[in-house]
Amino acid sequence: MVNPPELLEATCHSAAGTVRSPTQVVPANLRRSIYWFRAINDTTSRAGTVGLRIQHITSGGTVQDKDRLQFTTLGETQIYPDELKRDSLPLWVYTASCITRFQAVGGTVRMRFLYAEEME
Amino acid sequence: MVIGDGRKMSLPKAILLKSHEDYWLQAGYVLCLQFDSGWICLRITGRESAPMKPFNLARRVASLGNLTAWNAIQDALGNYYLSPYDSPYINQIFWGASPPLCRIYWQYASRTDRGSLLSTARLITGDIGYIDGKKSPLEGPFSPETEMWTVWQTFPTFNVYNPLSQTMYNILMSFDIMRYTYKVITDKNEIKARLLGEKARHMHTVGGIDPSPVVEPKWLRDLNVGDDKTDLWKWTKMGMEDGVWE
Repeated sequence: MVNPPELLEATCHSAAGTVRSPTQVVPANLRRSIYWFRAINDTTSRAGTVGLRIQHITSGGTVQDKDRLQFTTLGETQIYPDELKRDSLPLWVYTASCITRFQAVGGTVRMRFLYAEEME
Repeated sequence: MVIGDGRKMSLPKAILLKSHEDYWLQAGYVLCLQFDSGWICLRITGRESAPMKPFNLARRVASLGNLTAWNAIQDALGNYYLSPYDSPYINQIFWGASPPLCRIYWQYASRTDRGSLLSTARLITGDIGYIDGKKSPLEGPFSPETEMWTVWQTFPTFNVYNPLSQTMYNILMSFDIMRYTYKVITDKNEIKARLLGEKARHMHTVGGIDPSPVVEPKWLRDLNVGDDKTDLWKWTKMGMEDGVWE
């Protein structure tokens, strides 16, 4: 259940190949759920597709891809979900000790997302 | 639960059990307060609501951090909001907090940690002895567990822990305060009947039991004297602890 006062905000941008972790490690006994996500292909001069890897680093340090988005035009904006409702499901869930990480591939992507940290 | 427009809504547990407002007392009710030296029985003679919302407990608390000092809920002039400003009044207090995951710890009396579970006092970073904004939200319904009673010269203090990975801003608290006037009951038969539950009463241990209830202020100690000049603090303590009502 999305509880608006509980939502936290984070922003970051990832240039091609660089990794970004705009939030810290998920604290013990908590679970981070990303409920709303907006990403813009901010690449200025390059045509072609740009990818965005949504990753997590496990407590053991392993990097894993959770999901992947693809942008085909410059300035393309993707927003998930279109409308955030109280009963919206989380897009991605990170358990305690994990790190949220993003990596753009082939261009620059700017992101803003809303998340909650709840007890497991 | 289904609300008016057909949407389903989950409600905090507290509202399903009992609203804190059910605990307000009416004039004529008897209140039995346990202090360190014993019990005092008071007949409520009047009441007035004086809610306070919001009180900014902290502008910001860093991730996994606390306040460096306990907050006594004071105004800019150093007045204590939670403590009655004079002896004819007593306060019954329930409170809530925001954001939902902020963990509120309290001391009552000041420097006396409440909510400990082990022989060592509870920390203000751990998982013991706090009420968070989920359990007792800023807008209510407040958890009945937040009930506090204050008399002139007594007050609790609060601290907060931020369990999140991000800085928490504006930790707010709201206090539903009911102020009462009272009359001390000095008839021993009446006191015994109330304390033993033979007649209706509201009982409360001021502060808590570990290590001991709040020590009663001197002015209150002097009021609890029976019709036959008995020290009612000792008398009620002997009665409640040893069953001796002489």
